[in-house]
Amino acid sequence: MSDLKKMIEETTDRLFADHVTPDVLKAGDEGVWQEDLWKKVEDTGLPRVLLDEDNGGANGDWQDAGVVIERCGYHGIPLPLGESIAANFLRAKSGQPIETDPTTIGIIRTDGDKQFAKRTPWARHVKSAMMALPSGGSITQINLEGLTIDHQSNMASEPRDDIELTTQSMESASSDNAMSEFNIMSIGAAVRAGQMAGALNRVLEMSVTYCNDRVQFGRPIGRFQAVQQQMAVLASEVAAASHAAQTAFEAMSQSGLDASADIAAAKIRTSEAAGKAADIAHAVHGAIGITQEHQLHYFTRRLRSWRVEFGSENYWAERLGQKVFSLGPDELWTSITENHLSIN
Amino acid sequence: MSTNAFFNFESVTLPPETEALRREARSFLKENLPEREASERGRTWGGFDPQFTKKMAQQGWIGMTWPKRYGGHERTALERYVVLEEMLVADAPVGGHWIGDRQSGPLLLNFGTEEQRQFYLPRIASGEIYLCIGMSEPDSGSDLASVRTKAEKCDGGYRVNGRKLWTSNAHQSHYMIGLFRTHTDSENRHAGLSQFLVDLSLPGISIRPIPDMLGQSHFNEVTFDDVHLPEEALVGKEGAGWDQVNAELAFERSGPERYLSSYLLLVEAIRLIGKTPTQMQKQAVGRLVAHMMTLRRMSLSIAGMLHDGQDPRREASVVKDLGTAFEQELPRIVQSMIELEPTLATHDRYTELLSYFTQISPAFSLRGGTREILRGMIARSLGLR
Ligand SMILES: Cc1cc2nc3c(=O)[nH]c(=O)nc-3n(C[C@H](O)[C@H](O)[C@H](O)COP(=O)(O)OP(=O)(O)OC[C@H]3O[C@@H](n4cnc5c(N)ncnc54)[C@H](O)[C@@H]3O)c2cc1C
Repeated sequence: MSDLKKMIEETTDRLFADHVTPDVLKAGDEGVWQEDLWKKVEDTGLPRVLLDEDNGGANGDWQDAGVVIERCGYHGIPLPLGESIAANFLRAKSGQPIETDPTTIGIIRTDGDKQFAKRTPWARHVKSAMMALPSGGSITQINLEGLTIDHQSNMASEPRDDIELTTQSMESASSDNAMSEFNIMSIGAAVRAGQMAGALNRVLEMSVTYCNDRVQFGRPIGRFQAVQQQMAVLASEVAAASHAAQTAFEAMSQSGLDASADIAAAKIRTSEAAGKAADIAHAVHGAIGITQEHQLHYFTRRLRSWRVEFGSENYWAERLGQKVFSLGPDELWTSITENHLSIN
Repeated sequence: MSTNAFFNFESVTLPPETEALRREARSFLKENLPEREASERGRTWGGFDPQFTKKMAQQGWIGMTWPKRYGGHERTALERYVVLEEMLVADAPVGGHWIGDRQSGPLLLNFGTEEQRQFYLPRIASGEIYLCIGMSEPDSGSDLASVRTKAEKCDGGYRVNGRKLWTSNAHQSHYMIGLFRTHTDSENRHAGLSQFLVDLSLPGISIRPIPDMLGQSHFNEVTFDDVHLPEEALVGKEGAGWDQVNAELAFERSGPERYLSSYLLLVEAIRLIGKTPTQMQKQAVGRLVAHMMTLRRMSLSIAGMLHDGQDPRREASVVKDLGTAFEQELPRIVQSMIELEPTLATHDRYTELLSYFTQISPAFSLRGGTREILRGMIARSLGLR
């Protein structure tokens, strides 16, 4: 691990461990915006981890960003930090000014004679977002102030808002970079894969602790072989998902958003693990695990939501599969051993 | 992030020099891979071909990491990994030397005497001798510590009586590394076990192949009837067999063969479907490939641990469990992707392979330690037992 990565991991972990308390998780769940916490996060420069020093960044690469994103998932921080890291990366890439306010990413699609950016993460709390313009348009900064925002949310009560765009808001946005909707899907999938890796590790730790603490039939339940076998499956799923996410961030450190096959594999693997892990964690926790009071749901609900956001495992599997078929049977292995296959 | 409180999966980048080696392996395979029946190809690392083994030896690809003074080639664990994975995806018949290269050689390097190393290692590396693993017995499968085959001290050595079972390739091997009981301690079952190098041509040994349900003979029953072993047959310390065998199992469980057994079927399914896959076929193949990419990175991570001299036992149990589950679900998924009946003999390569893997895949999670035993080990890593 590089020194920078270690430092970033320690800083992030300490900050989140101190401040993402059960009260903050609960308030976030109830829709209360955590302004103080955002200020603290902003002070550390984490939203700009990928930017160079001229842009107020830490000069980090995607592996460093991956560590921050993973910790976001581990602590369940109710803020658009992953989204802001992604949006700021896209801003820097397309030469647009960097913001210190929270920000997000989204995709604009045409519906009849109107334009919508549906299920945009955290839209109600941000002033501007990096969005893909409709019909294969490029990615550009959109000012969200004054737009009609319909408050929606995912299963974990995280804001996923529908924005109606005006002609004006689209006009002011001119940009002709080579990026488009697929890049938003890719960067979003990478963020969600990283967050899922974190939440999966949290769910594993909580389950191990519970197995040691909960006593039935005079023994900790972790002593029962039936429980052990389930826990082994959980642990293996978590290990595979984490490794897939890490591989994607490594590939992105080298090839950016062109590392789309590794991003696809990470999203597929973490999404699949998310479902299995949430089921096993709840099974092991018994009734207490489905209560509001217990913390498990903050993580399993996020896992189940993130699983389908920015492309479910089927969405990404179809694209990866398409590429494999177009390469043909005898190229499959060579393309796996050559790093960073692209499915753009 | 892929290192947590329980497992340490550092990611490994293959060094640039492995690229040339990979190309070498690919062109070697192009020239030297014999034409074979579908079911023969499906045996992958179980396939047996002395000539092929000899050619591998000439390339310096057996005992790659061993010291030169023992006939090895002092290459790295990662270089060896690259050769292994190329052989596996090509279904090369590497069964002759596989066990010796994978675990018996390393066992002797760790625990063997200088004489044993000098005698056996160069012969394994040159593809002259093959070894097999004599651990399981009729009444000792998962519960390996219960083995009963006895090696009793006698004049000038040991006298062995008992039976080994499921010994892969015993009928084609020159030596067995056997785990025998040298001492009975009712208090501690793990004490009193010892490992021996057994020359399978000795009088008193009989080897009976046991055909599997597909009619193939790969494993055997090996009976010992007053077999006399010289003192020098002992490997390591008398009574230290349990610890030694566990170190050996780490090698047995840690390689890429634990997820690639049915890869051939995936390739042939992609070939059969061709250039116009349905949405469902794309999704199924994409998912399998994502799993494979992840398993490969995890498997490489273990090779990296071996490379750095770390003990990969915990991580290997995770990769073997995930990997064998993958190899086992592959035939079922491929079958649902293409509605063709598996058949026994139609001279249709694809349906024959499908038939082969559909039937044999349960073995993938038995050999080398069952799923339940591995999951028990994983639970132990979690601190639950
Ligand atoms: C193709 C093949 C090749 C093989 N090659 C060799 C070889 O070369 N050399 C060699 O020594 N052996 C070899 N084996 C044997 C292999 O190691 C054993 O099959 C394996 O260890 C399981 O033992 P068993 O078959 O006796 O099953 P058992 O141990 O009887 O197990 C039967 C079932 O009970 C379960 N079970 C047993 N104990 C427990 C427990 N404590 N907790 C939970 N579940 C349990 C098992 O998981 C399994 O599901 C080979 C096996 C196969 C299939």
